[in-house]
Amino acid sequence: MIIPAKLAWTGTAVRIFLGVILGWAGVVKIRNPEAFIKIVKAYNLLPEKLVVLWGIFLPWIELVTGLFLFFGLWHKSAVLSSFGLFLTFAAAVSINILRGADIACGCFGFNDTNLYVVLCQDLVFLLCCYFLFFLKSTPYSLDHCLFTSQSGGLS
Amino acid sequence: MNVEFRNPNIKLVLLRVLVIQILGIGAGLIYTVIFIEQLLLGEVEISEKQDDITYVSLKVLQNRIQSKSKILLIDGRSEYAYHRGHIPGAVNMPYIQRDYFSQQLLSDVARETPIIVYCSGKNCNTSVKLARSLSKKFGFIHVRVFEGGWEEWVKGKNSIQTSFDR
Repeated sequence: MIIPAKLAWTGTAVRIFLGVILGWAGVVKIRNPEAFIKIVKAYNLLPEKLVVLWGIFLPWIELVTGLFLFFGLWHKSAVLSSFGLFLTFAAAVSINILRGADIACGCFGFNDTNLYVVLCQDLVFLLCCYFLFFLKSTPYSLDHCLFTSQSGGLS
Repeated sequence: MNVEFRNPNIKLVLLRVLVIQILGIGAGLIYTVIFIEQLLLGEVEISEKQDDITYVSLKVLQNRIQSKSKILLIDGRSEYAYHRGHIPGAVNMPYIQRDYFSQQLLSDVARETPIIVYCSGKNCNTSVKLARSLSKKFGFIHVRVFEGGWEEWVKGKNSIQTSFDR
């Protein structure tokens, strides 16, 4: 597949941006798992046992996905994984907006954030994922170094 | 100037998505087992009373002491009350003298060390304030409060230590 260079470089910027966002969100939660578990509980969507497991493992999935995106390894898979994460966040936030709940989002810290703003953010990130999925891969990535054809690359 | 890429097949893409999730879960498991195993063992009680405070029950505190887990137990009451009797192994850090005591007690303590703070009982607020101070001012990551405090400890007929026992 041939991708116009401008689009490919935009893809690189978006990929690195999403990678940093996910990695940052993961690290903030990993540093304070208990605060994050409380926020997951406040969402009131999972049974208590699952709340703890979700609170422990989700930040790590975010971090690993963020790293794959940042370094551009397994581009499509990393983008699909991010898409899944953002879709889950958007669904959880939407349900609580519909319930009229006033809770902290727990996205990039533990301060109160307007849930409508969070939902908009998630939708923007989902659009970014869609754009990246369409691109299939981007320059300055490990995929580009490892898996592009000999005749490919920048030409 | 264009960029050409191969198009990976969908099965491989989905398999790699699974690998990414497993890597995340594996990393989380290793980190949790090494640093905060009590979360997985369900020993942390998720209380909504104070958003930024995590509470532990008497049972959890007893388990932690009996298993000789590496915890720092802090008695937030006055020096006088502490010397008359405290939970075995606890160190004294009265809230109003926290800066002085923290220099003596906490300078060599790793910031990842689990800390449990208590005061007189359910009605005192010193342990909560001290816990906040320890996490926000001194940067300790795993600070919890034994809400029942000294009152619940004594009521449960648990062993106590006075300064003269040492």
